[in-house]
Amino acid sequence: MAKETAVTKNLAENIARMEQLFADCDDIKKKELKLGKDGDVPCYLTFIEVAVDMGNSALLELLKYLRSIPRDELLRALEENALATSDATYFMTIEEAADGLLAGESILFVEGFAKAIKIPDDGYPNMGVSEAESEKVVRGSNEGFTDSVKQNAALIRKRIRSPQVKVKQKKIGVRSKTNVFLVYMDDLIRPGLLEEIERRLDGFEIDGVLDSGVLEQLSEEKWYSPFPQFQTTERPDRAAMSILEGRVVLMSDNSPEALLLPTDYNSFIRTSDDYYNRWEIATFERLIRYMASFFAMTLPGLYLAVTNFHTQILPTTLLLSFAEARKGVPFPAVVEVLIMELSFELLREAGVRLPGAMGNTIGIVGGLIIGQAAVEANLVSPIVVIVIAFTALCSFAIPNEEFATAFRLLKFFFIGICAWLGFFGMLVGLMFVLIHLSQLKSFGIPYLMPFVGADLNDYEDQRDFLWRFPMRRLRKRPIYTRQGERVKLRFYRNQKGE
Amino acid sequence: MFAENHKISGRQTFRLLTFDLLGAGTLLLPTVLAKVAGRDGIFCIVLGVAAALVYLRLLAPLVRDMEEAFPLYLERKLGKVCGKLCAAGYVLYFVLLAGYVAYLFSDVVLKSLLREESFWLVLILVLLLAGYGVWGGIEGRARAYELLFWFLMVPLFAMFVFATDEVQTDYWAPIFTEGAGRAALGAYCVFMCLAPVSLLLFLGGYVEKRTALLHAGCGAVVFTGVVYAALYLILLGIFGAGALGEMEFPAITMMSTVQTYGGFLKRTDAFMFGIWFFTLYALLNGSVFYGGYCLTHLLGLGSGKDARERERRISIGVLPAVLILALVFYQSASALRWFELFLWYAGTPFLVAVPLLLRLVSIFKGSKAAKRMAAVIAFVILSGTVCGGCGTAELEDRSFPAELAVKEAQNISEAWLAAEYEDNSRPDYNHLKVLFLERALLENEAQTEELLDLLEQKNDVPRNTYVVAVEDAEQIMGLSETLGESVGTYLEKQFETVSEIDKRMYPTLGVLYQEQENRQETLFIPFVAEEEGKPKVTEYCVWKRGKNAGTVGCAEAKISFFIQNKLESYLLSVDEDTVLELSGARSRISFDGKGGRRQILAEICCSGSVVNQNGQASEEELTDAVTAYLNETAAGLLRGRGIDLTNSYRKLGGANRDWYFAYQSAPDTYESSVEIVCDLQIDWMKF
Repeated sequence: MAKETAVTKNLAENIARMEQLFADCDDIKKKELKLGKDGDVPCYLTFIEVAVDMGNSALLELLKYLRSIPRDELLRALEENALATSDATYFMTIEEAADGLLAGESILFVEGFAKAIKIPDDGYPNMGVSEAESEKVVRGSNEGFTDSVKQNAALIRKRIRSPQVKVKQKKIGVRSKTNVFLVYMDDLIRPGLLEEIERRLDGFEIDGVLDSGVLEQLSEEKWYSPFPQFQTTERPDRAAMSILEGRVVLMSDNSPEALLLPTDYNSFIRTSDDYYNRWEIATFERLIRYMASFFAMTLPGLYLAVTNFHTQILPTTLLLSFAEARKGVPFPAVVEVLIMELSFELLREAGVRLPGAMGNTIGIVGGLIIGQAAVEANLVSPIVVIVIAFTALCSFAIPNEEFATAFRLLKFFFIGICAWLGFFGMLVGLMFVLIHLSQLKSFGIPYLMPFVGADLNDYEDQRDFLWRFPMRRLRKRPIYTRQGERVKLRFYRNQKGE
Repeated sequence: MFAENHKISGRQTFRLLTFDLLGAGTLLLPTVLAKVAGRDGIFCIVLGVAAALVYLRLLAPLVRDMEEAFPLYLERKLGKVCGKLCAAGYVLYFVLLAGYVAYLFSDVVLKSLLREESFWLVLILVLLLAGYGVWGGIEGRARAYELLFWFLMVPLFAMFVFATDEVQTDYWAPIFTEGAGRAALGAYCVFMCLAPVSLLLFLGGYVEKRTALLHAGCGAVVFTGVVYAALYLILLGIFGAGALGEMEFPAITMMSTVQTYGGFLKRTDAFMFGIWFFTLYALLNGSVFYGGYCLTHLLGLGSGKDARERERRISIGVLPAVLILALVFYQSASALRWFELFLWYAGTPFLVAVPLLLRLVSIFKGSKAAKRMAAVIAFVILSGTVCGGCGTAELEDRSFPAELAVKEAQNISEAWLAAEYEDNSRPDYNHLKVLFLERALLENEAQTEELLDLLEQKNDVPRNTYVVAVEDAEQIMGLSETLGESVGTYLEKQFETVSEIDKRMYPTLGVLYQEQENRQETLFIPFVAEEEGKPKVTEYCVWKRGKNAGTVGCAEAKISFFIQNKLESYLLSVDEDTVLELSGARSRISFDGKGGRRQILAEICCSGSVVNQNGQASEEELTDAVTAYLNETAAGLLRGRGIDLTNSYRKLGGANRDWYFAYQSAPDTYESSVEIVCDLQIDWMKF
């Protein structure tokens, strides 16, 4: 660890050290002021220009107060931490003060006082609370996380007002010193989970962490798996819900995506409004999503297996219409499917990168005009367009983007193996994926919970997987929660004993 | 973390064991059982399950007593040398079994899904998959099978439900005909298929509660027994005992016959093959895993730090041996035969005997004389069990012939080639609807048999292709042009949707294959001729117990369908002016041998209405007239041409055992020694 320099009573020394640290940093304001009623107390104020609101802030109030009292009283107030602001913090070293400055706070050095004073402010500019872009819900709040980890923590606290909600701060990134918050419910979290997360976060050193995605990739146990082992969300209600399940929310500064852990396949399929809507529709939609996750991966492969190898499966009339549709197409079916799939991925990529209105235009141009033109030019057959479109719909129905990506990638694996080996290839592929999923864990929780190991929690988790039981039957928390703390819903009898 | 403790739950144990038991059992047992015990096979299953449960009961004290891994327990109980020998025996058994299952797996894949692919390729893929599965350790395996259970059971039970429609319960009877010896042999076969339940001893170290382990074992045996029984009854009801005993993989054949409701999927055999894919994979994976597990302990590497890692590496190391064995079985039929004998008469008995030996040692522990006695008993058991006992073409480059005409058996290959070169495309017979057989061919018994044998070898010809007799096949095939669609498709539509006759009355290739073995049905093969530019059924060729029996008119055939409840409504003219319609028939066939006369009694209840009547005949008179007409026609055909319109021969087994046994040796005398009596009750509708 680098040697640290203590803050001294000698203001000039402190100024020299700070100037040395922040030489050639023109965005950092450094002001030498005179405080005290008689203007006889030299001081040094430094802050990042945009991060501090000079108009109407705690800093202004504090400076006003310090200018209104005589020198002795000023020094006594500093010693006793009796400043007219609630969140002034003292730093003992220059390095700590520098970190505070870089975190977006104002730092004040006072002649004759051997500590630096951190005066809180709004911090760095960010986008503010806005609507969640992905994970849209029909019912419920659409509030989304922001770039500021502190605001995000506040958005969670707003939803769970319990002192049991703990926030553990870490700084990760040797140069970026990114604030990372671990938010959890102290009495619900499984013993050892927090330590395991910290162990993994401390298990690497990196120069900078600019998004939670970096942490995710560096902390994953099976980094080669296409399936994410951390769940992401940009919805505070989703994060709060996870905390109430005994999970830990990992938030990184500058990232609107929080990581939820541990996680499993089922958690990726669930959405927030599954719990806001009635159980019948929630169950129906969940089944649709499960089917979507299967077909997003297998449908083009299945089409190739059936049309190239196992024509006996389809009714004759349907098969003949498939064959008729393919007449004139110069490519083998597998090339045709690959052309369409790659075109679709291109359109998707272009749509994401382009500004909103143009992105929509690309969707229309790609989907309707190019698709139609490709069919008319006999590049592809209409049935393949239908298959690819249906597959695309399935991949969009998966609520989590990272999770959906795994299926999009595996789709190409299935296309290859089914074009090569037909339905046998499909079975080999399915078995391979299943074995992989059964070996996958997220912080000790099997990825396939509660399809497997449901008996560990007395089958309670199976009330909320393929189907969602009525809310009044969901009385227990899932397996993520510490044992003995799993009851989450109780009913009290009324006076009639009903 | 609880998911990394190398422990599995009771439910996971149950499912692991169920997969181990279902694997080859469902694929191979029905054929063996049909050969050995015929219709009594179902009782063999009950006996076999009971024996397996008794066996489990014997193992229970071992399971409770075992504190260490099973190979170490063997050493503790039997001494170091005997224990090591037994462990070596297990290694040998599991590696051989893995080789056999890998061969069987690849063979089934090639025969059912990829007829033109290389055995090597399929085998290597299968082994890679098994290696990847083993790499996940016991927890990974348990989780995979826990989920796979639903992948397996949902389609299997769906298929059972769909198949019930095809089941003919007459094929289940008569029962108790095979004798105690054959029943015992059948039960032994079932028990041998259930013997891998002793693998639960290997799971002892992985399951927290020993009672859960035993419950899982019992549950797996009972559950597998129920699946065996359901599958056997369905297969017996569809194919009959004779045909079932000759099939290689009857369960897979069943999948190609059974159709799903709604008709969206024409044939589901490719999908349903997944069931056996998963069970065979489980058995292969299990064999490799247990083989590696025993070998690790045999080499003394099963304890200490990184023991699990070593176990995994050694299991993977077993795979090359499995590959070599599978190739040997593929290349050498005699090696395969020897191994099958080894499996039945040595391998599986060894699997059963070692735990029994342990049990005996536990019982007689302490006493020297008792030890000697135990050793002698063990030797006897082991000796007894060892020595005795029982490239594809693109879619548009293929043609899908809907009909095929055969003039004589020898020209089937020519017909194949002709179809191939007709429009320069590769024929795909998976959608063949109708097979036209010329009358001359059908009348030639030897040629017909030869043809059916040839067709049965061609896997892409569907078993549910209708068989139609014609005078001149080319003429009928030529009607496609005037019909605007293929004549095969036209006729299929006629049989399945337009005709009032139940489609099951139109014989298919599958039915003819079965009849070659079963020889108990009177089938009516429609004879089609051209009428006004369309193919029309003008008469029926009768196929009696696998032999041609001449032709009957449509009116006579309809009487047969009516008596068999396979005709929606039956229009008949009692006299020139009176036309009646009979519908909703429910009939019952019984046999009466009183007074020395053997009578087939057909009691028929139906609704009747008068379509046209000029006279004043009462309802009783009309009923009597219809009854007389039926009796007269049935008796005429029976006496004159030996054709039984009631198709009663197949019911003999269930309804009259004495007659059944009497006619087994001389079936040809059946029609000449019985009389048909129709008793009609008509509920007349009044308008």
